Amino acid sequence: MQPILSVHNLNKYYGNQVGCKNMNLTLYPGEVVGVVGESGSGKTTFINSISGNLIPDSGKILIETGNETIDFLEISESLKRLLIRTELAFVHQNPRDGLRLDVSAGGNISERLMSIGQRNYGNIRQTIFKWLDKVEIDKSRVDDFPRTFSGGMLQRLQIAKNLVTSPKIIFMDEPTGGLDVSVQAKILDLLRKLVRELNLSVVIVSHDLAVIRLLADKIIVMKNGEAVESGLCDQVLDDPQHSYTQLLVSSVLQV
Amino acid sequence: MIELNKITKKFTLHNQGKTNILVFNNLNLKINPGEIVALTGPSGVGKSSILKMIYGNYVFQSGQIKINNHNIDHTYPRNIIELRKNIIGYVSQFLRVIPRVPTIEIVMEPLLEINSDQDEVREKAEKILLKLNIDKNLWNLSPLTFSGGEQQRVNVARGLIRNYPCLLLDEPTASLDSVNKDIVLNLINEKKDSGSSIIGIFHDEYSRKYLNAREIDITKISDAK
Amino acid sequence: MNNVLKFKNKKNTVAAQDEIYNFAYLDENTKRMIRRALIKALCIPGYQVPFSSREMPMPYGWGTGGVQVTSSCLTTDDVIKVIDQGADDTTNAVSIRNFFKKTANIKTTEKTSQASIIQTRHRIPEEKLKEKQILVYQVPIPEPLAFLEPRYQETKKMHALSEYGIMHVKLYEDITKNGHIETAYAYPVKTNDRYIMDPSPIPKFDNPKMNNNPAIQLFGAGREQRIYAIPPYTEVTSLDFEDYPFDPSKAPHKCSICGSNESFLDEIITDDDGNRSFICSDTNYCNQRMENN
Ligand SMILES: Nc1ncnc2c1ncn2[C@@H]1O[C@H](COP(=O)(O)OP(=O)(O)O)[C@@H](O)[C@H]1O
Ligand SMILES: [Mg+2]
Ligand SMILES: [Zn+2]
Repeated sequence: MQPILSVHNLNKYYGNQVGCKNMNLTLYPGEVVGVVGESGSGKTTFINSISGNLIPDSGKILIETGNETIDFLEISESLKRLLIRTELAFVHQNPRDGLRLDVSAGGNISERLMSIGQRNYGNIRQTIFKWLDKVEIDKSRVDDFPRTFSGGMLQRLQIAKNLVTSPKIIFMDEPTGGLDVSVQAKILDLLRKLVRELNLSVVIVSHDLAVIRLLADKIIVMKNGEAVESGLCDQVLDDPQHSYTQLLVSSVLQV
Repeated sequence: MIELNKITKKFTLHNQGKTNILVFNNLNLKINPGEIVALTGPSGVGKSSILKMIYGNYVFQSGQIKINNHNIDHTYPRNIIELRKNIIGYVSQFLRVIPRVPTIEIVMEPLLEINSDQDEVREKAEKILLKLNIDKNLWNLSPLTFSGGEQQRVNVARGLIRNYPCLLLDEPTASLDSVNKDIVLNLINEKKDSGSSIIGIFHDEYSRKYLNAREIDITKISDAK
Repeated sequence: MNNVLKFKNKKNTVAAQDEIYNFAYLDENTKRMIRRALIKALCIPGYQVPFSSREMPMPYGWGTGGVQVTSSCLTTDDVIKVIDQGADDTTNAVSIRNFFKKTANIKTTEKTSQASIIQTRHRIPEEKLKEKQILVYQVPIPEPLAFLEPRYQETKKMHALSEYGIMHVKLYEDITKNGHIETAYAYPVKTNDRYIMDPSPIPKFDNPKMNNNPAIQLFGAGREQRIYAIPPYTEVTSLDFEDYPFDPSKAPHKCSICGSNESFLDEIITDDDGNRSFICSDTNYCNQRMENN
């Protein structure tokens, strides 16, 4: 099997300040990679740099589409944006950043469909209902505006909006941050199901080790912009080798 | 077939003055297909650690672990993920699940990895839950609120719903009453008879004898401590 | 195209015109700048070309964009017609016509067929336009994506990369809310199968007239400083869904003056009891039909 995404020696600086440096990642189809670390450790910089939100200073990002290997940092901006709205998806921590608040729930879900050329209202509507169902939003809310939704519903709507075109790689930055614990659980459960059902490949950032333990197959532990340890998720959390990971696990994780 | 050759395992506690704890030195072990090995020895001697190394959950510093001729190699996490998906099953001591997920789905999950026919998988999950005396009314509830014994049986159901060539069992009968214990032991025997290599930790003599397990006292096969 | 290209070498000073103005008000440098923008716009149908809009002796919103485009196109031989919502005799139309009479001393007409340049606000004449005629639209908001994407740089990119999914979101919302596409004015079009374009607030009834039209169509937005164009015989399609096709139909009434049931109608209240009647919005069309009968 070929990795669907591989990142090699990626660096991103903000002036002299390190955003993230010397980062590597291999993501296979159907795999979830978690990125953990304390606030300011470079998680967001890293996920933004590999998803097209930020332009890294150096490094290589290869995306396997099935037919060809795409050198993500070398392709034209138009191809890059096309990839971003078809094969890739980005779920923001704050759903308001990923949704159009003045467009109905259904309209939000429809956008990616229409941007890949779907022009049949009836079919689009059907797809919207299917996805509302998948993310457990009542169908009767389809024409309501997102501003009338709760935080958890907004996040589920954002997930539907992003997944509707069956992208191959999903990036998520703290998708359950800022939500109540019970709402979090529901979203984690939803994500788990979708990952298996759609064979999604996911890079997920979180400072919450419990979230990563439940979702991720592999993990990258970041500190000061660098990966201090990476590997099989449960192995790194249960038998951490690096002193920082040991500290992180002992102070945060009491599962 | 599970093979451990010349395994060294130590823990280095970086934040406690770099203390080194040597758990195993030159550990050798082999479990053949159709065989059950029961690890024995006082608590803290490293019984669970052996299972965790085989499962890829713990690293080891030197030596070799082979599962049906595949190396457990942490430089390639993907390979371990594949082995877990296809070859190694593991029933842990404690049930670890996402809150709110119904019992039936938790049991179905390992089988869905290789079979996408929801109905067929659900049927199998129902069958094993019935066998393990988990009340039908509980199937759609999260097991997190269940009693210890019920949780353990859900865990067993999840681990045994598939036929893994290699099976790791960490105290699968610890909190079960005698009726349910026999049911679980019978299930394990079925796996053995179908050719699985099984290694487990069983706290009671009764279970080990029932399974006709080859007992191995860890203190005798490792040089450490 | 001849009309547009021929000014370059023409001396535009005429004795009879009011001497305090340059021909057609704008100075020659400005006209050259605008013509360059026009030619670029014609080369890339539907693409919005920025230009530096001049102060005109009328406020924004009164057709300053259209007037600058017209001014830059005018030659001494031109015959100009100005309409506002189809009518030649509204205050706005009359004052723009007078403006060009005064500053360019050229012939004016109300007859669509006799005009070489027609400046319009919110309508396309009913009578079919011909080759070598120029239709100049006054445009308030040139950016069709503006309603959902306020950032100019971003809309520019969206045009460049044909990222137009969002346009259909608007139509989707329309159908969802109203059961059909409710948009009746400024109905978005795709030009030459490439750029999505705002046709200015003409009724959707007029949209089909833009398609494959023999005349040159120029669009000027003064406040927003944009020029765009449709060259003759260019494909212009209105956005829609397969199962909700574009429908240019109008109210099913007849003109109560000329009896036409093919022209776009204005609804007027005829008395204090609120009785209504419908008359052609294109006054020249209506008058011609009456004369011919
Ligand atoms: N836009 C920026 N400009 C300058 N420094 C930044 C910017 N964004 C992040 N940083 C710095 O880069 C480092 C990594 O930040 P970030 O990627 O946001 O970490 P995390 O997501 O793990 O909290 C921090 O030192 C942070 O202060
Ligand atoms: Mg962050
Ligand atoms: Zn009439």
